[in-house]
Amino acid sequence: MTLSEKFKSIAGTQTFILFLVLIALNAYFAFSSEHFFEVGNYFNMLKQSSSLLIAASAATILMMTGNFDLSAGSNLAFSGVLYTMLALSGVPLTIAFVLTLAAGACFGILNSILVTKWDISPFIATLGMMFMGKGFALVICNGQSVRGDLPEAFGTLMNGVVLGIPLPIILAVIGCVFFWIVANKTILGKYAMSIGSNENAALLSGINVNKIVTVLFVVVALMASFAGIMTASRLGAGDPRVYEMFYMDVIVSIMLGGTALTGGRGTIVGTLVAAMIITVIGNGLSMMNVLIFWQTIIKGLILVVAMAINEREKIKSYITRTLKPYAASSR
Amino acid sequence: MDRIQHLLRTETQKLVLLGTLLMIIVGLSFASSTFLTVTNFTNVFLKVAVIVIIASAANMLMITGHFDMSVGSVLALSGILHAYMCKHGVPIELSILITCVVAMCWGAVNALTVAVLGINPVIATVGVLFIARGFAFLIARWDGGANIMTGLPMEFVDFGRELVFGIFPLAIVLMVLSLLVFIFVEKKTALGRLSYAVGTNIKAAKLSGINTVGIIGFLYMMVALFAGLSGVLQTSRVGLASPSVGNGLEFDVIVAIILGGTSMMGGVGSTVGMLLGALVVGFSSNGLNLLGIPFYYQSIAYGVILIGSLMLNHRFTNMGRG
Amino acid sequence: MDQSNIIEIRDVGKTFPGVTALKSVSFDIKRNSVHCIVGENGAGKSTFIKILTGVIKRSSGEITLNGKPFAPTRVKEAMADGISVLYQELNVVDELTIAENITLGQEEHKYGFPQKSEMLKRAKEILATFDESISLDDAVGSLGVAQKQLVEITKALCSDCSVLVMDEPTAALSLGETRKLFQTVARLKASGVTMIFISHKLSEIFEIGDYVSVFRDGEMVGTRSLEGMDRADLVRMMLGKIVVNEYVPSKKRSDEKLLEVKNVSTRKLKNVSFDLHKGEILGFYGLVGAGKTEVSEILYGHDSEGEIRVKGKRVWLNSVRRALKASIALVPEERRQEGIFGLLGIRQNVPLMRMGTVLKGGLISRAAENKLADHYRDAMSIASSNREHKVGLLSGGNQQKVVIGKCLNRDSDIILMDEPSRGVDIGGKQEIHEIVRDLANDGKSIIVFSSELQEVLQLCDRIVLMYDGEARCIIQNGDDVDTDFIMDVVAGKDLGQ
Repeated sequence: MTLSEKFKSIAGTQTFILFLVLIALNAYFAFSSEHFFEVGNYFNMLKQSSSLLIAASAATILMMTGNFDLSAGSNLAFSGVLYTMLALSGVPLTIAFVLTLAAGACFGILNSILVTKWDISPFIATLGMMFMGKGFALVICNGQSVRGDLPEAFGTLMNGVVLGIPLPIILAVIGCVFFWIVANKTILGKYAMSIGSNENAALLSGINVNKIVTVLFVVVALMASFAGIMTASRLGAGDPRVYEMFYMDVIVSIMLGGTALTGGRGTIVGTLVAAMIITVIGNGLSMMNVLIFWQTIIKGLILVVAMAINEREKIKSYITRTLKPYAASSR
Repeated sequence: MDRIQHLLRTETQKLVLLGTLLMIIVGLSFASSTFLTVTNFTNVFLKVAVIVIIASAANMLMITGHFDMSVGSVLALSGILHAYMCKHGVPIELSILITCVVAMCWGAVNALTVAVLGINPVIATVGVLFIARGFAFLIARWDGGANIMTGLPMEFVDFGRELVFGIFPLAIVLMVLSLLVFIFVEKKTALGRLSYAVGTNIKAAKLSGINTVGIIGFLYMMVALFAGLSGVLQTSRVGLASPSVGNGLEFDVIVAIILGGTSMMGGVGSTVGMLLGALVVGFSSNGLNLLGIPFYYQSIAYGVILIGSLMLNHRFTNMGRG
Repeated sequence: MDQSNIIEIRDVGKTFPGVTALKSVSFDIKRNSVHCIVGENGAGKSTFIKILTGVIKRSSGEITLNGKPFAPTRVKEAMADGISVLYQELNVVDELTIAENITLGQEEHKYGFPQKSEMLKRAKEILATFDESISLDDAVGSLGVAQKQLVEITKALCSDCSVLVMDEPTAALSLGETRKLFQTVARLKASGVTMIFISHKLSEIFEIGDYVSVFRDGEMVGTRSLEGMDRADLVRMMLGKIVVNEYVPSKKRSDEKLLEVKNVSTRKLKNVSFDLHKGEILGFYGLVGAGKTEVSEILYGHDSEGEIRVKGKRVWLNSVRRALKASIALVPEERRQEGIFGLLGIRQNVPLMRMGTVLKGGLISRAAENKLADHYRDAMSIASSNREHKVGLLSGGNQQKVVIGKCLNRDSDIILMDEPSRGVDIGGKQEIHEIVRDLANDGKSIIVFSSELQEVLQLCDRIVLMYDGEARCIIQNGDDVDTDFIMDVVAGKDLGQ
């Protein structure tokens, strides 16, 4: 493949177009708002989106298999609250961290049992888990956000700086690169793609489909849990109500990134670029003092548009089919 | 005698629900002194009314195998839009009309993404969930506050507190009306019959020439319309329009429908069952409230009901499916 | 050449709850031969193949492979013992490269990272012997069907397969691609692989096969050497004795052309043309895969190139609703998936294609519904005491009658019936035939698509014989109809035109 061919094949992809959109958005906000185009602001944006980037890239791999975890948002809320409470009650942070991840992993295990053993549609099964997770998050903290005398190190995860770069950004980069490698370079990613594309072929090749799906559900749950810990660290508190925007952001990133809900198609890079688009829009708009509600509206619109883009083939074939008689009779 | 046996066999779920309902009511009358008061019952019924009005349409939608997560947002937006327009001089009737049309437009967006594009409703209707909620907050902000409560014309509240024939609150009347309409749709109209067919076997429905997209799309618009009406009603009754109202209402609606025996996979269900389900949801959340149990336990219970019903479905109804 | 048996099958049977899919089958497969298996749908071929490849477990009998007892419980076990399958639906992952597909499920890896494996080296050599133009790094999605098959064959050979089962490998191939596949088969045979070849195309079997086993109704009718065998003999073995009940011409047949199909083509069909007269029953007969279903599809919702006229008017039938509007209705082949509404009763099923028949003043009238349901229950003698009976729980024959009733209620002029009596017991079959007959006598025009010659001969006024996507010829039914000629045509014999 020559360089120009390679370029052409990249230029046609959804990810590339998204990338252009991202650049255009950056340019627009840089002109419209004086403080947008600053290193500090970019650090800030990346910091804010770090947990989203990690969780969404893990969720993309799961979605390649044709499964989805709606409970990630409430898992995040639950884990954040649990971690803060453990920290408050004097448990060493490392142990609190491990315990929280273990509790978060339970979401993944339950989800995967419902989906693989009971054959329940992943959307509905994880919706049920979302209710339960949301309830548990509120139950353990009695419906109040958890604040108090937290140890010094509690905030380090989000506010620490290594070599002049904020720690969460480093974590996000590590996480994203890790999942990119998993998706593109390891057999786990290959199997995930195979399951979503042609489950029968995967089964006949001797792949243990249920095991792979289970592993991925657990990984997504772990990352959601980790994102919860990061959020708690950023807020300096455990807030049970943070789940809603998060779950929306994950859905929008993945859909806009071009991953098919039915599986078999998807790129981590697409998801990441889409996640950054959302973040930049959010940040840019708030820089321009646009009301925060517009962000919700724009995200919703992006989701609807992303669905239409993902299903463009369907729309096209429907239109040509319907118009055929008229096209022929006018000839 | 045969008839009774037949009823016992086919209507087990409804009987169980009725039993549960009676137990909740009897239990609560002993456990709480404020339960058996007119005020409390009015409160329960007004809550149930909103659920039932929306769920009667949403039930028919779920019979086709689809559902709508955006009802809470559409309700909030409609309520606030109505209040905003009334406050700014639009006649109340015209305002209601416009609100209903706007609500149906949201339904149309859902219809487009779910029925035409064929995207899973859990994801597809989330778009409208967020857009409508965002606009609700935006309108409140345009009005200059977090809520719209001052400067509303007198007739605005009058409408919501109107007593039909001097005794029945409008909400209850609308609830009964929407129930009757959908019992009628279910039993007597082609729409109802075709909805069952679509939910039972959508492939066969398409091959039989049934306009599946049209039916599903129409029902999405009906659900949105009823959500909009409930929004208008709720705002008018309270005399206050809040953009955050109806958060999580979609779950109340879905759980009421599932408890009523409608399958999430479609093809099975009844409006009467849904009413019983909604009553159980209404009374049990009232009970939690009176007994001082925090509301969030309900969320866990909802999750259990949702997953449990699917497990039961998995075991029992699939054998009769096409 | 080694002529010992590689596989010996003794009294192998399979029963599912309530159904016997395979009855005590015994035969031998010679080493290094191409052993063909033929039979119509439901003859038990696929059950046998599934047992051999470890997809399902046999209920009885013995199989020995290389003299050792062989009872695989998983696909992987069969593969480890050297039996691989090339399935009809391609089991490759389009998103991966050829190399990734070949190693799928058998990667050598360190901590999850795939390592350069010996397997790919071999794969490269093997693939090069088949087709030098494709490289291991090509994406499978960009390959044609035949090349995808090569990928699968390569994959099988890489895992040391000594027996390769090919399940209708040519069904989706063009003529040129089929040639190439046969070259591959010859090469595999030369390299010592035994092949089990399943196909509906008899010409292929005679071209590449050494032996043939014929399956019919869950039994093995016979195993013969293909050398010196006659094509028509094979067809006769496949179809069994054909008992043709007396054919009665339709009474209201007229010369008015209701439906004209001119030079219609799709991916599978080649220039199909035929007419349907008013009041006649037209039959489409051909072996499985000859294109009958495709013809029914272009008349009911699928896109096609060419011209279709109904009552002289040009129509486009590329959506179901357009077909219905052109007064065409279909009784689909897959009754459970496409025909019935299993959770609903007979009463609710019957009017679904035309709700107007039970509406009074825009509302469903229970009385009208009951009347309609009772009417069809009587007319079709649906054996159910209760019109509220859930259709999903009825027997196959009764389900089919409900589907036909639903379709008749549409009152279309043209009725398509795809395999109208498949999976229906003998009594039910006879009843369904009578219903079809009566319909034609009422002036309806009917097209029956069937892979049962008996059914076509008994019902149809004219018969279109299909082979490989072509309508080879149209014959008039009658007492003098030559079944040998029919068998020759559907077996692909050149008509010399």
